[in-house]
Amino acid sequence: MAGSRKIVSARELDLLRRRVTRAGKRIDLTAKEFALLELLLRRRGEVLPRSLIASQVWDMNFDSDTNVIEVAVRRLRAKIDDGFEPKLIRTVRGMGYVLEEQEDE
Amino acid sequence: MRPVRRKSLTFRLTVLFAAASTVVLLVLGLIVAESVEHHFEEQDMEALTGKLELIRHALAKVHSSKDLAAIPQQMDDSLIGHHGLVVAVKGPDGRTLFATEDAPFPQRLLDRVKTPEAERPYVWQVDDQLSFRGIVAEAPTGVQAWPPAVVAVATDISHHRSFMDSFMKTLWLVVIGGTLATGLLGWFAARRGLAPLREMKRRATEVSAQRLDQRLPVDAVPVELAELAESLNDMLARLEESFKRLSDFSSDLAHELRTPVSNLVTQTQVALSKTRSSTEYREVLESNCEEFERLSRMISDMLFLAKSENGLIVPGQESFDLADEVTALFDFYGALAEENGVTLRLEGSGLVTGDRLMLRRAIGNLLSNALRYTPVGGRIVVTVSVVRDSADADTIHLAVENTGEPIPPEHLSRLFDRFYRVDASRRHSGDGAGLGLAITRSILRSHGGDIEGRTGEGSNIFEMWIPTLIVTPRSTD
Repeated sequence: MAGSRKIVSARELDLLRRRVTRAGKRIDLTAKEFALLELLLRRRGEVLPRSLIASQVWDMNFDSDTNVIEVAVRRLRAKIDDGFEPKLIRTVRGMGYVLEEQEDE
Repeated sequence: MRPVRRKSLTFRLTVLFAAASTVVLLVLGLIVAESVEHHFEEQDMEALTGKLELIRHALAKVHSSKDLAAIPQQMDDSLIGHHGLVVAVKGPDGRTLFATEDAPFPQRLLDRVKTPEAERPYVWQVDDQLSFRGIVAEAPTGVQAWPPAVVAVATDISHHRSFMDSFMKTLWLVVIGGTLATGLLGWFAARRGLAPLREMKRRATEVSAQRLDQRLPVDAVPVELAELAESLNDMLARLEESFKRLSDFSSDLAHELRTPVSNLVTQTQVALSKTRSSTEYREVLESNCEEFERLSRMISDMLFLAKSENGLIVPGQESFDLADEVTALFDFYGALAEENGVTLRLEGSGLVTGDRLMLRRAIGNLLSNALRYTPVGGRIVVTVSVVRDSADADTIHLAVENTGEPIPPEHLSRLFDRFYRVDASRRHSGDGAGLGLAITRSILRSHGGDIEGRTGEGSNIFEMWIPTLIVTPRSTD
């Protein structure tokens, strides 16, 4: 599973130019999508609650009762997971989201 | 030490009534006594000066020792019928020329003859019973070489004295009687006059936590008390309001907690009723976790509201542009709005002094509320404007207008009450506990501002305002 290893490595994430490639394909992300992905990557394997994501990515330090984060994650997924295997971002019900640490096999 | 006793109003009024009437009676009595006395004195003086003139006239006609010797006889004749009148005449040789019997002129009166006081009446007593008022004067004789004779006349004023004595006695009796009578009448008057106060007291004792709706009768009490009754009624109204809020608060809380907790219990019990696969357990735990999260959010929101209503939340004082906050929030809600097919627009800007995080939360709640009720294809417009109140004070207005079905007016004012929902049965899964707008309002109130909702043409507008001091804007580069 070389492809998945590549995207979770920082080499595929061009922080300066905010560019992401997966399986050699260029993916265009908005600034906030990029920030979200960066957060998930930096803390991969860790389940991040919605409130933490809201505060780290958008600087919103209050609990919003809307599904803003769900929408944002869904959009990010559509770009980096749709059409690729395995899926990277996993929803942990009742807790939040996690970018799975991929095992070398 | 004895505790200081507070005197009753009735007692005070009684004492004041009595004191006032005593003073008036006393002053009146003393004035009357004084004028009676004065009148007596005038009467006496008239008689005395008349008699004095008569004697002087007689002495002036004396031209020889023979004439002088005839004077006593003349005196006797002219004094016939003048009861109570005493006269003494000292001849030029200094010896008593004539004196009525028992003419008890004191030496002090006779000594006054050469002083300016001679013509003024002098009062003295004899044997503690008889009182006299007398004057003394020099009377030159017709013989130039002789020194003038000295004439003293006086009248018995014992009857005046006894009249004045009994008058004063009566006066004192009247004053004492009057004081007692007005005291008693004053007491009755005060009790009658204060009857409305006792009625108010009686009504006030009826007020209790269960009967906070009791009010004092404003129309039935005298004008002076009406204001007091009104302020007491206002106080009662405020108390009733806060009491109601408090009891609503706890009943709301209980009510809002009951359903989710009983759901949790049921769900957990069902899961435990038989052995299940680990996937099934996991599902139950996940679902419970979501519910717990919702509950915990609601509890912390309630805590925030409770603190804020008790004035425990002190907003920071930072100066920033509200439009920047709206832009950040648009960034946050942008994706959601896009999914819902709602466009977001910002107009205007305005510097505000306040707590950035709290105000961001306040506006955020308004936006998420607007997003929830804006139909697909709708629009949310946020307008920031500044109204100059005075040289150094502005009011920042921020209006969130969203297209959608206008909220019925009966709900508009209550939207900011906690747990209030326009449609009680409508509860989207994404909905909060109905505390968002209540939190927004409490944040604004802690900033000295407020919020109100109104309806426009096919839209709803929530307008908040915050009074703010003008800060000189930093120069932009």
